[in-house]
Amino acid sequence: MPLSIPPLLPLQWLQPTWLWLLFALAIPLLIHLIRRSRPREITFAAAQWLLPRQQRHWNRFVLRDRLLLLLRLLLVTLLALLLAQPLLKSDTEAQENVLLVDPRIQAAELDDFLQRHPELQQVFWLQSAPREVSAPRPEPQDNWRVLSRLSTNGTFRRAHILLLDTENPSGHQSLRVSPDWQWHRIEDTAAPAVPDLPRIAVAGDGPAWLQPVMEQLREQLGTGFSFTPLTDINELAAHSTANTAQADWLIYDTAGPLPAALQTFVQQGGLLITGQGVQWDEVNKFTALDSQPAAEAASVGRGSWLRYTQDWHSAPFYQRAALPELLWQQWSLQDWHFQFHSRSHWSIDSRPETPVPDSQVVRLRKIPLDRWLMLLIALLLLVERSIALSRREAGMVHTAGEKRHA
Amino acid sequence: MQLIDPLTLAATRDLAWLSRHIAEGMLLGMQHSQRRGAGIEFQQYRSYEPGDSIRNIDWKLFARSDRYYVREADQESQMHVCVVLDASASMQQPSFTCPELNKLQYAKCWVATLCWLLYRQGDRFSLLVLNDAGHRYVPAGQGESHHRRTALELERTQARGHWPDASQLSAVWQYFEQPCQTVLVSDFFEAPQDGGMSGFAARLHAADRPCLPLQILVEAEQTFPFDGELKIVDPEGGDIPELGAHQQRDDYLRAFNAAQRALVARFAARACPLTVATVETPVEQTLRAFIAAHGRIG
Repeated sequence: MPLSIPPLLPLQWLQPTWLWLLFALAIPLLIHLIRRSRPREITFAAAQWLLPRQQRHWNRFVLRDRLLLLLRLLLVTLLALLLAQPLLKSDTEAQENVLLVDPRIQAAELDDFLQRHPELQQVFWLQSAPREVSAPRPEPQDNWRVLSRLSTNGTFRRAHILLLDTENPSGHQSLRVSPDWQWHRIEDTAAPAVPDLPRIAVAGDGPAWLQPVMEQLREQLGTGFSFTPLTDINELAAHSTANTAQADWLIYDTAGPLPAALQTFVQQGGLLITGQGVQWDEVNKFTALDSQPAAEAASVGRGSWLRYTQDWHSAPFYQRAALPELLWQQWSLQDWHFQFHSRSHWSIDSRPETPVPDSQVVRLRKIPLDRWLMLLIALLLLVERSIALSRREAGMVHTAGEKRHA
Repeated sequence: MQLIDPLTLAATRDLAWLSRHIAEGMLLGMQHSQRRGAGIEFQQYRSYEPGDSIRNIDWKLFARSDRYYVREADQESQMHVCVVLDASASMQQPSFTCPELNKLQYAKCWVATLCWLLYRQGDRFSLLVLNDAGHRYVPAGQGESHHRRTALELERTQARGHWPDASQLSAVWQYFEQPCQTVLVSDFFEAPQDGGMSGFAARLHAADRPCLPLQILVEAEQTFPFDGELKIVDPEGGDIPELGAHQQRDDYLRAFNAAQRALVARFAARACPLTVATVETPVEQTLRAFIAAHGRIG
């Protein structure tokens, strides 16, 4: 069992980079050493009672004005600490009567919710730095990120969370949540978003089995599904550059070199599905797919090209069970845009969450040390200046007797 | 009461005026009673009083005025004070609080003021300035013009070299053939091995020429107020390249005070107590202390 040693001081730094400033401690040290190595020259007639002592080598490194040096070192240290912004650890109680509100929720709905839950006393906006709900309504932030950040916050460890029940966009990292959070939802009264399905088009004549397969898919997927035969290929390319593509997936079945318009379509991010006869000399790196029917894929520009390695006009290709589902699966796997879009949503019912264990909860509270540090620095600066100036005044007396060379 | 501050002391060129100013300030309120009596230089007439010698009655005046008047003249003082001023390079030592003023300038002013007091007393005084480059001598005399001459010679004096050795001093002894008192003004910084200055004072004392010493120091020599690293330049040679003032202070003060005690003891043995003055104290104060210590002048 690993031992966890508690740190000596319950201190953490908000800006630990500034601690590099501690290397500046060398500056006053160097100045003192340099200044020391130049002796003051004075005329002194009673020199016969002074003994020129044997010079010791380490003598050069003995510091004088130690108090002054100490003050200056302290000043630099304090400045570094001030800039690093120390955080003093303190136990913050996780409270249960806290509600975090999604900023997208309307005021009337929130009031209604609060009337039904009178035990919730403190209401905050759901933000990276939660503010009281009396503050002006903030811009909606990415809930994924906000929740992940709040999951390590000790204050909101046991909070209630009120979300608008829509699809929330997700992030790259996993959603981190506190296991003690209690989730609430308010139904989104706005119209539900139409599921976004890729639009399929065929350029020229497709294989004979295409039309029936598309009919079956339309029955399964519903109204969002679109399949259009395309007559003018050049028009497609022109539109795709203007980002108003008439199709996301394009089926092409004319053996021979690929027309330039279709090459552009793929490079702009479309998915091209062809039979084995289609040639494109510049593309030669294909990856064989392990799914059936046998095919190979290559990524070209921002899009990809799926080419079947067996003749898709032959009977073994289309005479297999559940051909539409197989094709849909195979094609959608190749379309990164579609995958990203369909996967990156989560709702309150299905949270791709990772609970944050208690050990990772940061029970830190920023203690306003800044003001005290600044006061201390000002005080030390005053002391240091007064000492240095009084030294200089005494030094003026000494310099008066210094030998002047004619 | 400080009549002249150190800055004025350092800045004023006219020693005759300055010394008169200081001395008259000292004499302020003092009874101006010169010793009058028999002498050559006429001073005043006064009425005959019982007890006066009838030899002193001016008979011609009696014939004219039918009254007895006694003729008085300044009494000629037999006292001769020879001021010996050390002009070796160590007298260049400036004050550390008032860098314009050095030991020699202070000594010049002090000597000039003393001479003014002697002149007002009617005493004769002479001046001998010594260093190893040679000596300068102002023969004995009295009166205001003699004071001015002495002041001029003082103004011309510059500090350089060392205290003269025995062969150079041999030319000086002729000035002490007449009975006189000697005032020796110096900082008495001498290497313990040569002892030329002590020998000079001892020899004067042995010849029954009392040697009244005044030591002029700078305050920093008594306190050593320095800190940090010092490079010492000794005006009489022997520079010390580097020393830590803080570490040396105790040793220095011990050695310096021991030397001072020895010096005081040597002069006390000859019944001529040493007066120690720092450049930072006013001239008149030093002069009063000197006079009080000896009780012979003033």
